Amino acid sequence: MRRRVREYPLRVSNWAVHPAFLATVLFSAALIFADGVPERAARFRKDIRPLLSTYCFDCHGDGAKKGKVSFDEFKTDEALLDPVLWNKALKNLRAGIMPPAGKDRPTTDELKVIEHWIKRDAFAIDPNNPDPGRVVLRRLNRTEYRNTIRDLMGYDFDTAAAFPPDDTGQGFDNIASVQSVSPMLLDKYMQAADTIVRAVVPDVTKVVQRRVLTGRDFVPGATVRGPENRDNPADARVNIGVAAKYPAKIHIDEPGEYRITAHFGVYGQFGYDPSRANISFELDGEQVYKKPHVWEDEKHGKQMTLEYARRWEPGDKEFVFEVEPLPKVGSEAATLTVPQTQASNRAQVAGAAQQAADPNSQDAAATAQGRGRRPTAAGAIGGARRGRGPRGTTISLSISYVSIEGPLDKAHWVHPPHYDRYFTKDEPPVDPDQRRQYAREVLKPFATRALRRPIDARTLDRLVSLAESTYTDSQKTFEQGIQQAMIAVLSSPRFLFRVEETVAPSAGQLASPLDEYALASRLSYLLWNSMPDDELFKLAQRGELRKELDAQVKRMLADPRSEAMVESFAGQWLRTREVDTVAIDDRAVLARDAGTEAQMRADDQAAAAAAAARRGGRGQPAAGPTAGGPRGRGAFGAAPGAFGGRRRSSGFALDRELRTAMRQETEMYFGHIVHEDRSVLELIDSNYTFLNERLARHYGIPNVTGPEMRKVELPDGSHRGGILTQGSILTITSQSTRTSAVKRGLFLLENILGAPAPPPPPPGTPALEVSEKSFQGKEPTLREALELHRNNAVCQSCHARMDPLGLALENYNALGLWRTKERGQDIVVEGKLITGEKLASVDDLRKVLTGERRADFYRCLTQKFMIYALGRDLEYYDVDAVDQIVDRLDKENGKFSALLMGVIQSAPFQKRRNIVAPLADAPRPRAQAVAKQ
Amino acid sequence: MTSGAMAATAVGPGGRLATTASGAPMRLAWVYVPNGAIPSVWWPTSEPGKGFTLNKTMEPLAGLESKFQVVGGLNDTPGDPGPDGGGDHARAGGTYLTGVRINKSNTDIRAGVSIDQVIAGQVGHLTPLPSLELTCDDVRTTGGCDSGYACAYMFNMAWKSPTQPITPEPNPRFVFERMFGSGAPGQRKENLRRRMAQQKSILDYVMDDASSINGAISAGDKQKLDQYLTSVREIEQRIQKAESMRGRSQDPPVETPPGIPQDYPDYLQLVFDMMILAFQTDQTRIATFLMAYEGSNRTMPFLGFPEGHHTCTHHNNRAELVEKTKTIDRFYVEQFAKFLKRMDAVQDVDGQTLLHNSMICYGSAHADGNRHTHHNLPVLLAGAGGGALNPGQYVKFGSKPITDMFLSLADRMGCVGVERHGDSDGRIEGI
Repeated sequence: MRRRVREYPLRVSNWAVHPAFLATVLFSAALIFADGVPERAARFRKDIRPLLSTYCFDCHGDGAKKGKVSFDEFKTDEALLDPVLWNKALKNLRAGIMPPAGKDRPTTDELKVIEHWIKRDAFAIDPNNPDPGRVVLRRLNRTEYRNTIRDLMGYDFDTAAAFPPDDTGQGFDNIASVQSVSPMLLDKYMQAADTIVRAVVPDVTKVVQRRVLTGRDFVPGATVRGPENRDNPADARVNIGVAAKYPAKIHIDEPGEYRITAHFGVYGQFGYDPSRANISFELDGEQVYKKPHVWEDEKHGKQMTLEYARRWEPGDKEFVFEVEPLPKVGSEAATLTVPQTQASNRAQVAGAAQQAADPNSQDAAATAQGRGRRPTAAGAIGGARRGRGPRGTTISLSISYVSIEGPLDKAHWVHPPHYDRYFTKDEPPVDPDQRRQYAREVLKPFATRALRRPIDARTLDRLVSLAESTYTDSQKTFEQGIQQAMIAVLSSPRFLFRVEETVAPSAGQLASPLDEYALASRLSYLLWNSMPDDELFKLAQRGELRKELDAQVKRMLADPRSEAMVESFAGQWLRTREVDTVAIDDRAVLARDAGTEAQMRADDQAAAAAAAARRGGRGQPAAGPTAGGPRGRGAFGAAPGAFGGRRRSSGFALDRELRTAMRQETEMYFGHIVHEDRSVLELIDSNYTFLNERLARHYGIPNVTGPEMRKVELPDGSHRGGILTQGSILTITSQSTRTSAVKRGLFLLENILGAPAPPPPPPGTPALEVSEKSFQGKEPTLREALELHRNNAVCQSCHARMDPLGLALENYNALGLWRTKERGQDIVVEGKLITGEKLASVDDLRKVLTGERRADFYRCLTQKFMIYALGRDLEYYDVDAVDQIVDRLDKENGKFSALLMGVIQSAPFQKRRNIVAPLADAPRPRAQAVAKQ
Repeated sequence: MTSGAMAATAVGPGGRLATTASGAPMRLAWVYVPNGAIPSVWWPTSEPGKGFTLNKTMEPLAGLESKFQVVGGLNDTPGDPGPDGGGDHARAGGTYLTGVRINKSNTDIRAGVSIDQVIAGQVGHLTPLPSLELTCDDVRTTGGCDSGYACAYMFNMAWKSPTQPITPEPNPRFVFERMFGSGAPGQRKENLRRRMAQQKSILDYVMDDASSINGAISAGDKQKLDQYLTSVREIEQRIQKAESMRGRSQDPPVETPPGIPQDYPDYLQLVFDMMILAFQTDQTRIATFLMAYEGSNRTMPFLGFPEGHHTCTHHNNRAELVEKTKTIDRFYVEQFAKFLKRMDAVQDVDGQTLLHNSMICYGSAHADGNRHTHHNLPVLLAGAGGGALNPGQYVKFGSKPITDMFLSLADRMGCVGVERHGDSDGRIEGI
């Protein structure tokens, strides 16, 4: 191969040149298709200015220029038609922010006239030929990459561990313009491709047949640890304090030499002297291993691999792991105490309690055996979790696998696992030409699927050459050559980016429909966060996808892969992903409701002082570079603060179980509306939700038992129904110690009503806590404190938009619990939205959102969903596409399908803006390479 | 950043590139602390000059006074609201090392090249990695980030181009494996060699694939592809360097970090360890480390209270929150002090300590987080730069762009031709 020396990265200044340069070759919709500027400006003067004169000129005309905006001082007609200005005006008009409360507002009909002019003339939108915009190359984000690999290779690659988090824009992690690639990320992509391909694509033609009995085969129903794949079979853990036999068997068809490998480990966690046991392994009726395992030995876990060779005749072969608990050393067992623990550690308690209750474990063993029952492993799995809850004592036998390889004679060798998924012939041909031809046969379908469109001959040639340059090495196999080419495909930009093509544009056309392969990808990444499946691909190949769009969308929604959309879209739009990390101090929240904060603070101070005294005695950590140990350094990590240390749970703490239930509630709720094609208004209000026992207890809803989430009809007076009453949203919009009417109000404005959010407070604005001083010792409720600043004109203008919305949810505290008192006083809900609607309860809020302000909610949801679907921000030229979907939602009673199909059929989803000329002048990347030698 | 920088001489008019007077590598790092620091307990209680008296927040640095200097009077003026209004945290984050006004947009990100990348462009070829970007934030917030600014401004400190932030690595294990290879000590060199050989074999293909995406591509598309291509070239150069520096490859006799520690202080120290290792083994001479992203509301229950950092900094002089903010400020200084002590315990090739041969800038683009001020930033400059810096003093400038100091550091790295950076209007003297 030629050696090449390439230049250092492009000069930075070059980058800055491109946008300006390229802007000139993009169509500008406004200038090409609409009436001329003079006509559009004339319509403003005739139809619009008189309306604005009535409603707006107090502040924005006749010399007034509030916010530097006046509607009668345009220097030129172009300035008059400035879409940025009119986009702001449109948003403010629609949200009822302008004209401000108390002033006369345009009638509905007048508003329509203004909206129509803005869309047709200021935005120059031609409804018959709209500008669909153009999204830049979208890189697969972590979820998309993971799902794509799953569907392409049948391999679960943990991208959350391997890749850094994706940057977000507009609240979503699939926005093309903010996704970047760095050397570090590309390095990771290459590494990932290598890992994935080597894990699933065989590198030899035939191997000794290898069959594996996993931990689950020995322990039915065991929860397994870690991903289950070829290199890491299921690993079942069983408590060694419980006598039991764990058998499993396989059937041998062929006589011959076999190799048997058993792999197991002993792991433990210790608070006090735990149990010991004899562990034995029996192979086809013969005990080949027996050894006592004592806790001192196994402190850091011990793994054992036993290997045996046997000549076997056909028949059943059984393998048995056996655990025989041994008496404890000394009599410490008598003083065992069962640690206080939370539900997530129930498993450990079960194990410990069993030992505590029955120190003479040999009797227990005899009993267990006598009854002939085999305990399941479920009781011991919890011990595997790290760092959560108190350290109880568990020792477990971890059964990884028993593998049986054979017959060893080459005549009996078989294809390795997954061979047929990638290779079509029994063996690669020997003749070089045929070998090359076969490489083409293998690589073409793979690359086609991976790149999500037909592959060109040149690319295929390059891939075959790449494979060939590897497999012609005498040390390498044909399959290794194929692996190499596949690694290249998975590292290539056409895999990592979604390259879209359109049907050939004719001259002068603003936009062209995407070709069907691009459409297939848009659909599959929207609904599945993954690549198109075979059916989509075949339809695209035949050019029939557009014709069958409705049926395909239905099919795709019915596929379990569509859960990805629910999780990704709802998780980000409603921010439920944050539930896993939001920090709420349950004790402070409950104290506030009860009016006992002063007492709590006094307790805290005492605890902090005690903690400081304990800390004071410690020396400085040793200096020196010790990259090895993340543990055991930093006194802080262990300092039991009043908050971080152990203390009795209130029963309402946001532990993992509750967080998960809250997140799932919102996701399942959204998923229900998607899959049952319910009205999206049910997102705001309904008489059902999804609960398990824990969450039902949190909400005070009776008769829900068990850990599984299920749909529950809400009883009268439950105070629940709709996402605004769900723990997920209530907690993530709270401060760590109290509710925040501002955060909740902002959330409603931004994510439900779609109204422009007010700017943040000017620097130096006192926080709520400061204004409490003026209550002279009395602890004010949130409402009282907020009222103080709403009496200030500067604060009032913005807070009037947020506070009433947020305060309508005051009956839910920062943990999402229903309450009627705060700081010992009754909670009063009374407020008025800037659009005039009065709120006296959360029910009123839900009524307003599903009634008078319904269109706002439809529009907001449509905008969010469209941003998510397109991977780009919405621009002024998208306003009409959104409005059409809002109309459709209204006509179809808010059904989710109206939204989904509305977006899928919209011009921005179906089409792409053309570029007039290819970048003839732009430096081709390849031209940067300087050949040498 | 001339073409063929690989072959550039290692001696520039400013001095030898990234090399101290004694010939040891010169290291430069930025350690970022978000949300400012309570000024009243930050600044030394003594007048500017040699020797100074630590104020409360800096007490954890006691004993190290001769190893760092306190620098006052520096500003991040592009962090001011100006016509852009709210969003001080995103703005502070995006402007700190770039020194330019950033585009207020949720999706259209535009900042400038950050100073560390400007310097890495000149000295990066000397080491296997041109620069190292580190963070302790391994999750991104969803929803809007800060008043209309994209989250990218807050979560990235280094910018390779105005539109290409460099995502920092949150996982210490991957930092380690990227530098030294995976596996146990003794196997890593071979693993790394194999990894690079593997990458090398496909670079031509992926490069070609990028240029085959032609036809009608937009400016934005081109930017994305350029990012990809630049990354390919950088990896290619790294492989070439590794081949030519084979004798210098390293395999530290320590265990590979298992991943991200659960406790934040452990996490911080482990990332600091990675930086020390990188410097010690000369994997890079430029590093940036976001201890937490600007605006971070990280809760630190181990400090004994539940409020998050950002919540505390908006204390509005409420005594209880002021105290908590001070505790957090001090906590970060304490973490930094631990790092400096370890840096000071590592012997460098010239017999000096690693800290002696480094320039470590600790600071924030917020001065007073309560009022969102970006003037008179809390800045510490640790290390002696191999003698090019004068630690052990409190220097106070009237009011200067912090970019002036960055340029002065660039000069000490031997960079040439960097006349300006962002809003700079000169150099600063006396550090």
